[in-house]
Amino acid sequence: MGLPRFNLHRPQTVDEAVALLNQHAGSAQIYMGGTELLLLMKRGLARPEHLIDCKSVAELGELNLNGGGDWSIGAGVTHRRLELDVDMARLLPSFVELEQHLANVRVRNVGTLGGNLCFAEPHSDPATLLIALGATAEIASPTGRRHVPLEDFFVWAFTTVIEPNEVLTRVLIPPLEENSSVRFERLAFRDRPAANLAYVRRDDTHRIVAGAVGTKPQRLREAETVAAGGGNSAAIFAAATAEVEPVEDASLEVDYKRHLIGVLAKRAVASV
Amino acid sequence: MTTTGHSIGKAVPRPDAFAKVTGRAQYSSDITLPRMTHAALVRSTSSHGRITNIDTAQAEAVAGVVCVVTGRDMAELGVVDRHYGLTVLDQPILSDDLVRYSGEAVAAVVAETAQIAGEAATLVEVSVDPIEPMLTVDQALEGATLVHPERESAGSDGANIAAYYEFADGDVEAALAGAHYVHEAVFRFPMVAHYAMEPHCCIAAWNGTDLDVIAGTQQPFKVRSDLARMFGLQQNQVRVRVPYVGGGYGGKLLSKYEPLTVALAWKAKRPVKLLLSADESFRTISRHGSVVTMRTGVDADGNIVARDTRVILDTGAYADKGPGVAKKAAYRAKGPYDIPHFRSVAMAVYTNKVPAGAFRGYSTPQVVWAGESAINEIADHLGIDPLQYRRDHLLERGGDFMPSDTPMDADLVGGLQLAADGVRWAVPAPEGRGKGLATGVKDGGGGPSRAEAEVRLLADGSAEVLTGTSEIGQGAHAVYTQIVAEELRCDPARVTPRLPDTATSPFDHGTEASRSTVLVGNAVRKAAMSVADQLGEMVERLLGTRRDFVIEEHRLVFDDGSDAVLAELMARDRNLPVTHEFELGPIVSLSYHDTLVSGKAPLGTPSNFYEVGHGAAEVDVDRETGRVELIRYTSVADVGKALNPQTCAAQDEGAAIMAIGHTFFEEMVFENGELLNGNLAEYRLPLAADLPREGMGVELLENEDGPGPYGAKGAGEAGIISMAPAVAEAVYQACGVRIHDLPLNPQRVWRALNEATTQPGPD
Ligand SMILES: Cc1cc2nc3c(=O)[nH]c(=O)nc-3n(C[C@H](O)[C@H](O)[C@H](O)COP(=O)(O)OP(=O)(O)OC[C@H]3O[C@@H](n4cnc5c(N)ncnc54)[C@H](O)[C@@H]3O)c2cc1C
Repeated sequence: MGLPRFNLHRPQTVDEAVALLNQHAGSAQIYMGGTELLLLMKRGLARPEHLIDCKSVAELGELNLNGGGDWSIGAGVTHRRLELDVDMARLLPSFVELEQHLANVRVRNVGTLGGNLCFAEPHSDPATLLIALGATAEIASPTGRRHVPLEDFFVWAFTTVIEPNEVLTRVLIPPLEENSSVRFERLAFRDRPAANLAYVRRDDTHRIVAGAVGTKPQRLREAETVAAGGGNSAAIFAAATAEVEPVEDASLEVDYKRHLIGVLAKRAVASV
Repeated sequence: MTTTGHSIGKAVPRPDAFAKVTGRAQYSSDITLPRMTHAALVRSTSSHGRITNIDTAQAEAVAGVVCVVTGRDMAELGVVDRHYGLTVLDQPILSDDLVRYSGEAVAAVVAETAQIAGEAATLVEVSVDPIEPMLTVDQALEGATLVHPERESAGSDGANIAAYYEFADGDVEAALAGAHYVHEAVFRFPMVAHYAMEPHCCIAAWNGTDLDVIAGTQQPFKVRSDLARMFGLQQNQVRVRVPYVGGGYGGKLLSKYEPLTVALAWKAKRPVKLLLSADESFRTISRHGSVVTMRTGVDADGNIVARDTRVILDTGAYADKGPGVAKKAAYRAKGPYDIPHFRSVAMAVYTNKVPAGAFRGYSTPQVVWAGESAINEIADHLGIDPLQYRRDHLLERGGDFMPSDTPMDADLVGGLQLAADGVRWAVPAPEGRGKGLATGVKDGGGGPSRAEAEVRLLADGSAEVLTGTSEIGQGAHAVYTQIVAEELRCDPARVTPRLPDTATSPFDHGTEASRSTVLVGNAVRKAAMSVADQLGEMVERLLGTRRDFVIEEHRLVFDDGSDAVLAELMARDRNLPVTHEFELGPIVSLSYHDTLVSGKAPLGTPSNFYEVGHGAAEVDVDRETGRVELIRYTSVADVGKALNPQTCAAQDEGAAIMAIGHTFFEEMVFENGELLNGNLAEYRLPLAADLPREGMGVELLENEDGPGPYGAKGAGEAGIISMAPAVAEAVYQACGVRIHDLPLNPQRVWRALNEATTQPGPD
């Protein structure tokens, strides 16, 4: 079936977008690349009366490497722009590599980082890496802006802390120290990953995040402790498989997903 | 007498290529008729049940809705017989009593726009009294409920059997009992989707009592005959036109939505277009999932003495081509070996799922998955290289594929060797990798059938070739133009193929079973030869001697370099003034080719030829994740003669790529009878990234030993047959696990590896 009918709005600023959402609360959705939203609408799984197209909101399209080495990535920045960004390639090559393998080039050309995070589809690659990097979400609401660590952003599959009248404006990545290392591992048997895992080591802190196997990305704190203590591959594998909380889906079962996370954790830590 | 080489055997550009790559080619879905309305279907969400009520009031009240149609309308509409199918007419236009699968159409809305029809369709309320659904073949055979209570089970092995076939020779039980070694295993093959890029589409219009239908079908004359029977018309009142079809793979054989669209147009009193979504095509037809239990016995020298096969095919809710698929499964299960004692039983079992029908390979991939895996395992058990084992045991040319059928017409060992060479068989695979191969054979060309073709040479030296072949992307029409060009010695670009229109096209049985190039091609060649003869005779009459010539644009160019304008020659021959060129009309021939019928052949018609596909694979297995990567794959198709080597190789390559699907990941997943992944977001199809890392090789074996024009055999199905068993053997060689269930997805391989390491090994 084709798309059901809807009204299209094209705000030019974040404030206008928030106002529109507020006005049509419950019946409006932000529309960026539409790679998720339009699919849902075509299948009759979502029927928003109002689509708020924020692609002309300049602020959402800003991608900045700030003087302190921290990044500010507008929610409207497409995967393709991240994939091709030369500074990103130099300073955060893992992120660029992630983007190179995400979906396919048609999705990357129009799909946005904000759309990926806000949709909270459990098989997100950027969510996993960004949480490991300690990123923060900036959210605009009718009462102003608020900041939420990305680690606390996801509530459940397809659910985030964003309210129906809020807009994700950008993602902030803190600077990485010289000697830190970042690894992102991904296994995919179809477009979206079957499992992914990020490992970020900065000085003495180790962050390991597992994704795509549960309802949302999960910090593997036990595995982090083992990594910090210099544990061997077997120990990392054991810790990761013990604490990860996968959920079964139509094609993959829990024990297999658990195993995959163990393998990825072992590989990520070993490669640093 | 012409020799080949003028256009045959050349990679001549396809006549449809430019229109297709520039988006100008017309498909059914592109066509709009005046006053045309649009239909949308209401599909059952229940897998099995009795319809108690269909409330159409809300939908009917929507502005722009023309009418809503349910099964109850059929009698009123004067439908003479609402059922269709092939040998079993069990599928109703719209059911008014039972729903038999989740996704079955139970009502339709006709509206001014597709949008309105789609919206209104969501307002139709269908009430169903549930009946316990039969979701697996085992359940169905036990028969707690019957999918078609009005029909008797076709076999004594259980309930819900739609069709049952057995082929046997010798004494299989005794031979197995006396065998030196008996290999026994159960092999499973998943139900998979055709996924043709163009979903099913049909446009129907009544002109008084005459019917005009435009449909993306592979079988226009079958559709014509069904419509005439069902709506009480003479066949000459029904016209079926087939524009370009965006892929078929067997999923557009027989009638699909044509009878329904015609009924809708009747009630709407307007032309109606029904264009499905891809999701709906997933819920229309599929490939049979199967369970094959096979025992193969060998003597002390490794000779195969007996094979006993039992094939259970999940045919879904309606028979469609299921009975034929079962028959061929039984017929092909023995495989291309000389086996004195065999018994092959195959049955199509009704379940409450999406119907299964014809699909590229037509049950050969299912039985070859079992048969060739068994051969690989037997060779391994005997400690013989699987290539060597096949060299010793494959049928020789002239051997019996089945008793009293056409003798094997191919060099099987020679073909398999080409495949083996493609993966450098003699060079051992590095650690973590393995190689495997397999040989698949199907009887080709289908059952009894007539193929006709008409060739017209027009007075300006251009030509037309008319057939009933649907151009489904396979390139048959390109080949027809080449055949005509070869015989008329003209430029193939000056020959135009005409798409099927039952009102004007010569008859054809249908575009299936790799029969078009061979059977229709023979008719085309005969017609073209006749036109060439007529032309030659005319030249002889006018010049007093028989001369060789070629046609260059509007001229005949003779062997001595002189030339003459064709129209002038024709005018002279007919005593017409040259100024009346337009009166000349064409030089025409209509020819036909009938398949042989033989009382002795087990199938009634001897096999037209054997369609042979060899495959050899090299894979890499990641033991930690179970992921299997295809490193190299070579497909060898024995095509007799590649009339167009480029399109021929592309057909075989396409078939092999399609096989990557069921080998590695494709599978229709059901939960309580509901198809969970019947959409392109969730159904995993082969992608460019799935192609073998070091390349996909396609070799065409051309021994000019086929019954088609210039020694051609059919092509296009062979490549899909052998990949799964070749890959499974390669996986075994790489990591030591045997897997009997497809697809070989990472989770399944990982599980098999797990079991192998936690349990004591066999050796
Ligand atoms: C075939 C396919 C393969 C994919 N593979 C991968 C993969 O391998 N890895 C991976 O990580 N992802 C994958 N994805 C997901 C992909 O990254 C997302 O589809 C894309 O990034 C979504 O962005 P969009 O702009 O198209 O979102 P849209 O579809 O426009 O929006 C998605 C949702 O987010 C909301 N939204 C969007 N922006 C905002 C905002 N700024 N504030 C508040 N709400 C907002 C919308 O209202 C909507 O509900 C895949 C998707 C597809 C279709």
